[in-house]
Amino acid sequence: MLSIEDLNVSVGDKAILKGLSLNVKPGEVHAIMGPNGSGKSTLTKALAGHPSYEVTQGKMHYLGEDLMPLSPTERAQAGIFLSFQYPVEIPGVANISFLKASVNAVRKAQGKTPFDAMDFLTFIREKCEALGVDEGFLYRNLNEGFSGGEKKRNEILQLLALEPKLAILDETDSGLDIDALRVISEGINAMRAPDRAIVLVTHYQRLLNYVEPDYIHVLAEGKIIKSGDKSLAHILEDKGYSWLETMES
Amino acid sequence: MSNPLLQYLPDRHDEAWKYTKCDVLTKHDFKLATSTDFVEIDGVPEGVLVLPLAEAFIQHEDKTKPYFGQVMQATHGFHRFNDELFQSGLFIYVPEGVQVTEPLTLKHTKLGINEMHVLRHLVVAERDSMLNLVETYREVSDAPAFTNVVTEIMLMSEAKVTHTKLIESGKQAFHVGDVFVRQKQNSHFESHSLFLSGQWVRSDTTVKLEEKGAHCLMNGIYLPSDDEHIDHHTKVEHAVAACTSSQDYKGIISDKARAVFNGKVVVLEGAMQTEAKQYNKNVLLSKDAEIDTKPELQIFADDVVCAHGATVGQLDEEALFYLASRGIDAELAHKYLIQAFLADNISYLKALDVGEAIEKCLMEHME
Repeated sequence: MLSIEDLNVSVGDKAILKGLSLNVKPGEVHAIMGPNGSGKSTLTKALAGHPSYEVTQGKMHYLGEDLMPLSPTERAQAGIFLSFQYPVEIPGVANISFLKASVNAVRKAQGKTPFDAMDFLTFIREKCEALGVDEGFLYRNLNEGFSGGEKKRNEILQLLALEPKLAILDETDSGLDIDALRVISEGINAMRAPDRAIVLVTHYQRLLNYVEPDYIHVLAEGKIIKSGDKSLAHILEDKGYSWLETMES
Repeated sequence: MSNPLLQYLPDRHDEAWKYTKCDVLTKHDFKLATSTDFVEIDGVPEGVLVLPLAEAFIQHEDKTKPYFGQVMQATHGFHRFNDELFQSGLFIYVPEGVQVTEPLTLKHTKLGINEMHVLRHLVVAERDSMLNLVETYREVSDAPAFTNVVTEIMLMSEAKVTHTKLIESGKQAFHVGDVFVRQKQNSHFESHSLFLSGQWVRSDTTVKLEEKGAHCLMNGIYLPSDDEHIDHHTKVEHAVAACTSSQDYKGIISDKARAVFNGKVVVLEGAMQTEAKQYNKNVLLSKDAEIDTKPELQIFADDVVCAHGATVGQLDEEALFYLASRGIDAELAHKYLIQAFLADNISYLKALDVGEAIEKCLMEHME
């Protein structure tokens, strides 16, 4: 589903990713862990096509297609979803209008019939219920004045509503209390499916207690220095990232 | 040279006209319109007196004479032009205690080719009265035409007046408009200006807070595009203690358009406990768009709270990326961010009876 080969990404003059390779198959859940500044968020931004993140070398293929020529909008319409670490606040735009525009833009691009207002309301209410969010949430302005936890819930609500083929979740667990973490994890687990891949980017292994990955990769200084199964998370928790970094050197 | 306007044009060295050159007006052969039936009135609220100013001078001398020309502070040629040549206009009188919330709308009608309309309105809101006045200029014609209007508004104590001005003119419409306001004790004035289009527009709003407890709110949105030019000048004078004023003007300038904002807050000696705010924020949507903004504070009193600021920027890249990553196309993403930028200004309009209609018009214009 996703094949990354020797990816090099710079922001301005600064090289951040330095030869990252990764393969993700449908149905798999991969966790990308690593210390601060290792390039985790850069990877997610590059996959989603942020204009400030320049790919200087390497390849990214999604469902056999080269991602590079696609704009961020086209990537989203092709079924890639990125949950932001810091979702943007947009006052003056109701959450429900944004959600409907987003869901319908993706549906249309994928040859599905866009929802009308009534059908969308029924559809999105079900998703709200599944996530345990109050319906009032829909009628507030997009992320405006939302607490950190509410913003993350809104990201997961979008994940449920957009039904992407590839979901990339950047630090979705940061700033969440234990109850919120459980609800959000249930939301993510409900999205596990044979035709969908999930990439979790996280600093701590806490989220991985709730969403069990098939593979764990450790990112340091712009490339993957260690891959393994879920047991790797526990070793990291005990020994810290420095253990791997010293091994590497 | 038959254009009667030419001899009144402000001097090119006049600071107030530094960024808005009147030369463009000399290129047209404007003539005063022969008909004087310019204004269509929509919905005269019960208890409010509305009649042509010329008739009011005769029938209601006691109500017009103390105020006509007394609210206006003539400072440049267009004021003299209006004083000497105004062709028609209305007298609007709200008697003491009469409070109407439904809007009184003055629709300024279409102009002919090279026609010039010169208007003067006088509004008197007596003690404890309330008026919701709307002026619209929505010429559909693309022919060159010039409108000059001066609106004088007198608010007696406890009066509440909302004045909304909507300009959505044709591509060759020229407009010079002035609103002059004087406010007595505890009166409340709101100005909402929505300038959506027009070739060359200059708008001055001058408010004098002359008794304690007076409050004014000035809310402005301007959206010039193509090669349009829109200039706002405001002046709020705090003449006595314990008055409040708040100005919030926002512009979105695209293509090769140019906007000008010059806001002045003057706090006179003795005007303690003044609270004055003035903000002007702009988004430039193209590299050829231009804004000249100059907020000014002149404070001659102690114990005042004044704040002002001006910003110029582009639409937030991170926000555009966020929306794009949700499959939303660039056009809708822009619209969302513009809506977000104008959210406060639009929320002021929502409080008005006319707010919804004007907001709809704004949204249609942004499509």
